Amino acid sequence: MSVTTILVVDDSPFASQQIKDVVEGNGYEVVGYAKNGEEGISMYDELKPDITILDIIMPGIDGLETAEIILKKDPKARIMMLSSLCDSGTLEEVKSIGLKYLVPKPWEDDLLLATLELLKK
Amino acid sequence: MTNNEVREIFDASFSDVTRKLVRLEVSKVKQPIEQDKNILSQGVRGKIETKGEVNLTVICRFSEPLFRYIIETMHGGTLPIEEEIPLYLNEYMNIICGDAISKINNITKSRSRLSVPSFYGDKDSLEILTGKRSIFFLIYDTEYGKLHVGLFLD
Repeated sequence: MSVTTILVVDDSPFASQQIKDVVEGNGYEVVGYAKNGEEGISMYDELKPDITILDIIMPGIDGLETAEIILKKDPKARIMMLSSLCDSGTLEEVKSIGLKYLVPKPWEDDLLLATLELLKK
Repeated sequence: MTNNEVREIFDASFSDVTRKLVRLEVSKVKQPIEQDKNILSQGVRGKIETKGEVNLTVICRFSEPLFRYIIETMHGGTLPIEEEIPLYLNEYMNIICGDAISKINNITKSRSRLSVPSFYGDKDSLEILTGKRSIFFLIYDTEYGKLHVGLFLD
């Protein structure tokens, strides 16, 4: 069975570790961690992950802007946004750049895995 | 939305999210405001700001045992390397304040945003915002000591 590769872009080592703990062993492998948007863009180019998980609130360029830059380079990029800010306005912003999925922090593990499955399809 | 409603939403988020994130019960206590202002100028603290419909600065001050408990629990039972410690406390504040601001945004149908949190160690100075229009304090008791929260509204 092939493994789906994931790049995590989040300034929080707590969130990055939580994601790794949840996804590995469920058909996913975290192939890279980036601590900010700039690093995330360059790691995306280098690693070409199947899925990118992006936090919205980060130092420097935020997750939404990072997603826009990645999508401009690769319109087929599969991206899931994460945020502690999960109101309807933020969801609208996520949708406005062409993305479908916003997972709230702290997340339920089942929700994270189910969202990743939707992204794979 | 009134300032009291904002305070109640933050109060609920501090209780609910702390229970969910680090499995800790917090109970609100009352103390004189002047004492609380002083306590926010020392110790381990975190600061986060909101901009938009609600313009607010949140400053939290953690007792040393509480600070250690939160960090260790989020790091799976041990302390992380020293340079990562602020990032764990920042994430704790980000998640709580994000929960509160999301609720406020949904109620008011507005879009206040959160800043990246800042960490202040024992020796770091932090300006206490006495010029703000309204100042509220939330003080919590936990089995690891007190959590003081200052809400400074424009």
